[in-house]
Amino acid sequence: MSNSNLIKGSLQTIILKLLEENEKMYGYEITQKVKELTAGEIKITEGALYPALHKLEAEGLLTTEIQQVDNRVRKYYSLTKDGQKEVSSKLAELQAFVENMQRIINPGLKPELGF
Amino acid sequence: MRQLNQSELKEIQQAIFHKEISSAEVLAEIYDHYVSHLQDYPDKEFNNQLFELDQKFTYAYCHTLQSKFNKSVREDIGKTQWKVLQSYFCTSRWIYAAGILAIIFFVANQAKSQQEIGILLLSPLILLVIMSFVFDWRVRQKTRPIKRIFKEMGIPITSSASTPISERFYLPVMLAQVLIYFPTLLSIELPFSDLAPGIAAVITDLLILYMLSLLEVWKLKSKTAFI
Repeated sequence: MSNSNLIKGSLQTIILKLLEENEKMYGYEITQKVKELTAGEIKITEGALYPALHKLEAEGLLTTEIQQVDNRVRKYYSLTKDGQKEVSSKLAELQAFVENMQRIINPGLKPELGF
Repeated sequence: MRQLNQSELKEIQQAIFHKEISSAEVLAEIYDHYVSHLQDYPDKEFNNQLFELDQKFTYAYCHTLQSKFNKSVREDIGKTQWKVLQSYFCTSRWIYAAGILAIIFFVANQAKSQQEIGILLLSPLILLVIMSFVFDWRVRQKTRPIKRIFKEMGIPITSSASTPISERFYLPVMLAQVLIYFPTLLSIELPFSDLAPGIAAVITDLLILYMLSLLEVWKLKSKTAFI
């Protein structure tokens, strides 16, 4: 499914939501979780993922932790207190957007979406 | 998921070598991504998958990622130190700040000569220099595992947080050097006055609070960076 432009705008929300449900995750794990949840329909590209993670970290919404795994170092991301607060507002924003899109696409349909 | 063998790991390292990444944090993250991704595929698909990863993590992409990361780390260190400094005056920690101030004022008032004032002013600067040596040693220790993996890479690998913190260790020392040598160069003789101990106490106190805040920043960032 070629939907990278659609995903781009929601990437931060996706990351925040995943980290709300999973205490801490690393970059590759996030891409695999999205792939698994959407049965491969949505694929987060590495080109978009790491800049988004670093941006959220710089904004203070994510914090990181370095851990030794096998013979390498792994960087885990988790939500900060500000990040936890931001999740609900980002989700509400996305939900409102999807509902408005539904109104445009199907004017007769009353959307009932829930996150 | 399978374990990669030594020659496969070597191939991954060779692929990442060419990207010439100097930030230990970015390098570790990209290396972990490569290994985690390739572990999910059977060995016969290794070369194709490695090629695909190389197409995603291009030289330009890695350098843009590194440069933005370095910039955000630098800004974050500045903001964190400022927050820590503010906390000395805005929270219950003001008692510590007041205590330090009182002790230094007491010590400064005991000073009878310019030399004694000089020693008082120099003490936090000497501590900053010692701290910077310890900091450099700690960075070397922490980046050793990633350096060992990429030891054949020509460019030096260091933590993105190490340069901004090192600069902060040296800044007061360099400023002090200017303040000490500038009057000497212009042959200005500063007389010992009644105000000298007070001024020295204020400067020493500011330097000590600056040093303590920097130590806290180091402690906080050591969890997220190779420092």
